Amino acid sequence: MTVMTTGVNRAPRPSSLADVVDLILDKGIVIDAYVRVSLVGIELLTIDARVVIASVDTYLRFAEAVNRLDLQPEGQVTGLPGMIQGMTEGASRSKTRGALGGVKDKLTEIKDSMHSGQDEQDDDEDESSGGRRRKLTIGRQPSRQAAERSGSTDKDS
Amino acid sequence: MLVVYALVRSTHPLPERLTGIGKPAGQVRLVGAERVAAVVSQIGDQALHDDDAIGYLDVLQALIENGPVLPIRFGTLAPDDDAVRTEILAPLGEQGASRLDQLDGLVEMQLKLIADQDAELRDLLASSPPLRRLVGQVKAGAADVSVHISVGEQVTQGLAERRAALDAQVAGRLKPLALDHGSRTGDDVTVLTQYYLVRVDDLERFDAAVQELLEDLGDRYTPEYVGPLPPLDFADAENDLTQTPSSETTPSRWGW
Repeated sequence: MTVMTTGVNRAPRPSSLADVVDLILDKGIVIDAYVRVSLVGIELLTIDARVVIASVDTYLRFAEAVNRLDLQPEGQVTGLPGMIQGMTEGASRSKTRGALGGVKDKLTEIKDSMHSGQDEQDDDEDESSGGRRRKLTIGRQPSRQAAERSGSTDKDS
Repeated sequence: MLVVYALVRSTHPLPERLTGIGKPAGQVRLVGAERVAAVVSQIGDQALHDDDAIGYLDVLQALIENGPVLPIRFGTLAPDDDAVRTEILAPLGEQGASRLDQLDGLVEMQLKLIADQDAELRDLLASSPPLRRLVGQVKAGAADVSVHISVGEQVTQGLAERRAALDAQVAGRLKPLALDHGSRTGDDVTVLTQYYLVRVDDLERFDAAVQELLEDLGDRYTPEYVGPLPPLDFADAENDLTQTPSSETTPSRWGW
């Protein structure tokens, strides 16, 4: 295969590691018996958590973005697309992980608020709530903070 | 342990001295059956990391130079050659062979468009008085978290609508040059990723079309145009192996 040279700026692969991971994760043929998912535990954690809570997390983030935006005088903000992209790329890995930290906190909050109504029926099923929490921490130990939070949540409830 | 990268034709010429992922990196070789072979390399009992993703993509990209490649999901391991034959090649060989025939001479091209978030938000606020009122409430400080969420929800929805419009606009321009295509947006709906299955022979035309498109879009979006890639988004067994691409996106002159 010859590489064509034209005016358009074409890269042979994504520029950042995070984008390469995005590119290949969840792609390709699945051979059930042999996919050892634990090998990419961190990414799985990302996906798993995303399913649970992504929307609320995103909503809050955008609400924040809109508020911040509105506070600035008209015309002062000249968003340089290049700069924004640089920031996006630089932050994209930490964004994923950061978002996860956020997810855990949010989950705890939401659990707190749900628990007030839910705990009566969950009281004798401690395992079910433990199971939920564990699901979010596949392949990685929960941060101490998150663990403590969850712990205190359980004690409180 | 063997890392399994892809299915190729049994006759697929391997690049010389192609090494796989893991440390130490094993030699990439074929485990062949009648028509189809699996591309594998030896690996110790170790965890794969993010940078192994790059190594995996390296192998696939080296392979696609010499013929069609059907990627197997990153992280797939088999204990030995026999397992590859009985568990992968035996059940998937026939389907794999026909999909490889379909993919012959085709590559995937990806176009990612990253929107300027602040500009998008400003447009959105300007076009929606109710949303501005809601943001006003939040700014006044009286609003509780449900109003925050409602603002975010409306913003997300508004951005998603814009992304859908962009998706249709871009696909309308590039689809005629591709055999198949698809798209996805990230959680934060400021990024649109489109992927196209393109004939290698048509790459120059496709490049030109992308360039023209990007010029028309202006600097509102930061583009990232990547390829030629192995058909990662067109390999999935459940959807694609059993069916040819829809006739809607398949110009008849290619005869499939």
